[in-house]
Amino acid sequence: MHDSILTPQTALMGLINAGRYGRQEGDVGIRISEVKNFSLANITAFKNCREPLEKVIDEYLGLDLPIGPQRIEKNGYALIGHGPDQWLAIGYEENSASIFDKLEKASRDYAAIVDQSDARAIIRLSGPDARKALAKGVSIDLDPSVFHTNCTATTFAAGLWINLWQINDSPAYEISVFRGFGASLASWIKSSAEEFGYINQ
Amino acid sequence: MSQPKSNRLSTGGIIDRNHPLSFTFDGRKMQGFKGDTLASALIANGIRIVGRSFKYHRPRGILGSGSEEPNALVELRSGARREPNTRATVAELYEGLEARSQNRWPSLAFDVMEINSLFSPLFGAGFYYKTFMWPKSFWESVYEPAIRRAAGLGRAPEGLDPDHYEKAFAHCDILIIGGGPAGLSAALAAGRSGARVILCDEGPVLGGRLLSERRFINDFPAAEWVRSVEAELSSMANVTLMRRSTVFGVYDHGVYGVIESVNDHLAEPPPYQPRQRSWRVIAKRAVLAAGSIERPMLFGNNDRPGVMLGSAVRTYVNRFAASPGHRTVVFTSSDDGLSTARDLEAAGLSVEAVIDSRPGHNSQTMNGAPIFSGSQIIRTFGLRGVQAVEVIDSYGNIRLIDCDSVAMSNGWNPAVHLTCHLGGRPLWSDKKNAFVPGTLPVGLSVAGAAQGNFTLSEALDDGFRLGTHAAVEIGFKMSEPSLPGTDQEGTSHEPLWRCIKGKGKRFVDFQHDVTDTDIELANQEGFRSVEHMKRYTTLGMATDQGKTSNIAGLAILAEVSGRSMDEVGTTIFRPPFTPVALGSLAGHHRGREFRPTRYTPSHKWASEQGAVFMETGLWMRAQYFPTKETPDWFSAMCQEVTTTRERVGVCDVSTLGKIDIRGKDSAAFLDRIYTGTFSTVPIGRVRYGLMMREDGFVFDDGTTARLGEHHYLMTTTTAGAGKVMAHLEFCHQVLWPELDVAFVSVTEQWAQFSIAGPYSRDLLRKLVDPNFDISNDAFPYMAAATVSICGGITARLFRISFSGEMAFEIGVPNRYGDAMIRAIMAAGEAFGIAPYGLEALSAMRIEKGHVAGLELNGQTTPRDLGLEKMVASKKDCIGKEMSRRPAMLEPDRPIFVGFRPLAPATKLTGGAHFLDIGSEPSLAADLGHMTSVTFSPTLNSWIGLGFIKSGRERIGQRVRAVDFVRNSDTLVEICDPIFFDREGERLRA
Repeated sequence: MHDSILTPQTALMGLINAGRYGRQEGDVGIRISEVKNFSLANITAFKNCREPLEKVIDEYLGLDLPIGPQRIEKNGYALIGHGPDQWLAIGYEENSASIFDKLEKASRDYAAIVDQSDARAIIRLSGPDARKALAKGVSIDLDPSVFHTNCTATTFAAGLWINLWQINDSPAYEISVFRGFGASLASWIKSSAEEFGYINQ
Repeated sequence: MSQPKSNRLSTGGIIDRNHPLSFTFDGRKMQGFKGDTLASALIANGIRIVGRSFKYHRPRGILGSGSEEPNALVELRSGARREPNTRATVAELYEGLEARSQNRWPSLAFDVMEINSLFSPLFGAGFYYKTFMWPKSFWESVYEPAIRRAAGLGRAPEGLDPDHYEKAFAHCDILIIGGGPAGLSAALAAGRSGARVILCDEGPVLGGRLLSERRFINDFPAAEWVRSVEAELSSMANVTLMRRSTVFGVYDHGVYGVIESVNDHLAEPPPYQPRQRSWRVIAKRAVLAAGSIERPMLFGNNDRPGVMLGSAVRTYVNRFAASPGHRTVVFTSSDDGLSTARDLEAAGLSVEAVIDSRPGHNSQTMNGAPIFSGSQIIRTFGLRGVQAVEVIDSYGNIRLIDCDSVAMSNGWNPAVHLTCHLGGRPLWSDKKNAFVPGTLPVGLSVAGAAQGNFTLSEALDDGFRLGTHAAVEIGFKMSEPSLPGTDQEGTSHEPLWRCIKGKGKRFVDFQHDVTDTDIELANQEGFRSVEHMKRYTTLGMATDQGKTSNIAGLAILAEVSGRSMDEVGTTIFRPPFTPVALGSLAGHHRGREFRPTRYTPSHKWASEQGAVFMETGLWMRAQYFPTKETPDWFSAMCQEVTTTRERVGVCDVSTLGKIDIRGKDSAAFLDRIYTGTFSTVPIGRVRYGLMMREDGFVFDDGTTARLGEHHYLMTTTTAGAGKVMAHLEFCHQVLWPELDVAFVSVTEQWAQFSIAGPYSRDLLRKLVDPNFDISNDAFPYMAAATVSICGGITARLFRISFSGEMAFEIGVPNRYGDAMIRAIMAAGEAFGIAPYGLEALSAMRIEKGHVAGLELNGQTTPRDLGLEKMVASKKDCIGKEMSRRPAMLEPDRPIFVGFRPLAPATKLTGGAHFLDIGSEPSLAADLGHMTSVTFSPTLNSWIGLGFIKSGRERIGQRVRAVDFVRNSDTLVEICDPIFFDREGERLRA
């Protein structure tokens, strides 16, 4: 920990202000929030290193490496299949940055683990109409028979490359873009949610 | 004008008589009911003339009752919401609806341009091409402006559309297109199988033609059956019913374009709701049940208001309880006409006669109305609407029959449009007297009337069968459904392509005023191919796309060219099936949201400073920072350069691509990618790198730092970030998969600032934590290190310079970006710091002769750029061999050098071409061109960079820089491209 004069800012600061927006009548269809203070790392396994990598990951995060576009979550950490031998690791807890730091050092011979905690903006979107709002930009099939909790996708929406994963059956999703695109992501999500009425948290 | 009597029937219809709606047409107040279309409400109010035709300005009435309507085009709404060319037949009535007729002046009843009709012999097909040829100079000055004034229908809205549009995606197993009997039964079968079904229908109410016909299913009125099916479909969670949704296009891989009129039936969309939404529906299978469109008859003055399609007459009478006429003559070539006569009489309306063009059935009557078999209408009479028809019977006797409307039935055209969108051509069927679907898009089947199976029982049968088939094909299990029974219907039809010639024009295409003689003329003039005939006559163009006119046109072409329908063929239908508002295709993406915007870490701070931004790719970057003393870009740029060169400046360079490269083969990999050697770069050092494409032209450049034995950080140009990343992935995945190396973009992980100028180190000393030595000895030019700043924040520090000054780039985790720029500015205050933008950045790099995007233009080799020494001789790299092809080594290839005007204040222009003094401008005399120019505040002179033949050898010579675009011709001296601090002493200070 440091004692710096510099104050950090979240990626979507000032863009998702608490309150109810859009349609005012009836129940809200959607809840929107920024995922803040997460740690994120991109993991790429080196050649023939999946096995030892898996051991180290299990040791530090207590997670198996998902196969394919799947997500595995436990104890505030999640691994997200991102490509062949590539994963995103997310830590939602306070101390996850230091855990990731240790993980990186321990697995240097097996994988490139690169800090992305500041590189991305993540929005969480939930509620009964979340699926309908997402369909206004996401071209993949979000029907629960096809895309359900712990499914992940790297896809394109509203002109943005996004990483999308479903975190529960409510349904709730997290959408991640490069940090500089945060404003465009927030604008699209909010505009898509207006019809249903939404709450920013 | 006298008040017309009401044509609303006292009973019947599926309008809501408890819900009256008032509306205006050309400013006149009228009433209709909920459930009416604008067309049915106009008919109920006795309005016959609704528009003027395109070319001859003839008065026109309503012809049809659906999306095929060619005549009843009106301006709906007003001001910014005005929608010209809205088909009154599909516009649902709402309270306060405002509609105006189009293409008339001063009024609909009296239109000055009707004079065109008198000169119609001059206005035949192709008259533009023949008439406006001479004198040639008149085209631009006289003819075109005049034609433009006369052409076009309706007026565009005034101002920005205030409404919101959306686009969205939907997925299903089976898409059913059309909610008539075939579509409903297909949806029922598919829905019962458990498949995910979407049913789209154009209208607000499901049922299709069943809403307009007096038909029976299982011995009950068809409406009962529709209601029960709709109830069952609504109860299925796997079925989505999309009303007011037109499938307008079929695209590859089961993608269907759908336009949903979410709120077109209201004056204004409710808050937060779009007016329209365009859908891309992705379906594994689709059943097209779009029905068919009735064909008109061609007799003299067949466009007179009151002449209507028989099916439309039945729709208005049965569905809307609005009678188009009180004394109707039915003219038919099929059994359909007999249904029209029956329905009219059932509604208590008088049928004056049934003119049946088919032979036989002589001297019969229908409920008192005489039937004239083997007879035809020759022409109509009437002022502002039909008042009588002239009929010729099978013996050649001519008689006049008084009437106020004509219901014409000439068979049906299957709505095959969507089957053509992927290249399928409809086939002529002699049996059905119609074009039926040919090769179908993969996954699409066609049911009912759209397939040419015109009876109700066939539609129901097709629907159930194809709905079931689609479900079974994709793995759902189905039992054989039981078919509902229907009442009997006649299907005899002998099409009559045009009637015996009488006086008066016989219109084929009502929307474009194309007559049968226009088609004859096209044939006579050699436009015999159906595609040529279409272009020559404009048959089948514009908003209705010839839905009612095409087939008659083809039949006449077949007749006059002595060919069969088969041989003539048909033009192809392309998307969209009906007009689609561009707004709905853009959806959310208008204005600033047209494309995503990428903001830099210092954006908020820069906005507060009043920075002027410019778009570079998707990024918004500060172009310059105006001050009171330097309010414009030029003075601001000069001040920013001077401050940086004399004191210290700061610039946000976070947009440069940053790629983290790790793995035991990363050094070997970089050696192959870059022209230079990177395996020899010591840890903690940076090297400038140049990369080429396979063809030997320079692709991108940047600096790469070695952060560890197997760890590099590459930077790219801002514009090149994405393509360099793709290039690295391609090289790794395809060319050298054996190399163990991994790349990740970390562009946005780091907020990076360039701090340049003589006081840059002093400034940094105040930010970098004291335990790090950044003196020139410890941290010389091209050093790199991980340091901590401002009390423990990890940062990356690089001693690199684009400006030519002593400079550092400091990278901090992006969350500190905003705080960092503020900290830098605070620390720099004592040194007179100024932020600088892209203008100053560019000026300083030109002063230093650094190449950038304008020089790395995909046409230059390292040699052209004077960077051949950067290509290592001892190793290979991508592009090395190809960059040494003989043509690339020609002595007179344009080479990178600098240019100065003889008079320093003379402005130089980018893009100017170089010529020897005294030579005439020509391609042969061209020596090269200027790529970058700037005013140099440091040298107090304009300077430029560019490429000129044998550039290095010509240093010191003078040439002309000629720019015909900006009208300049300047004498310049060729010089070394490095204008400032050639030895780089300031860099290393």
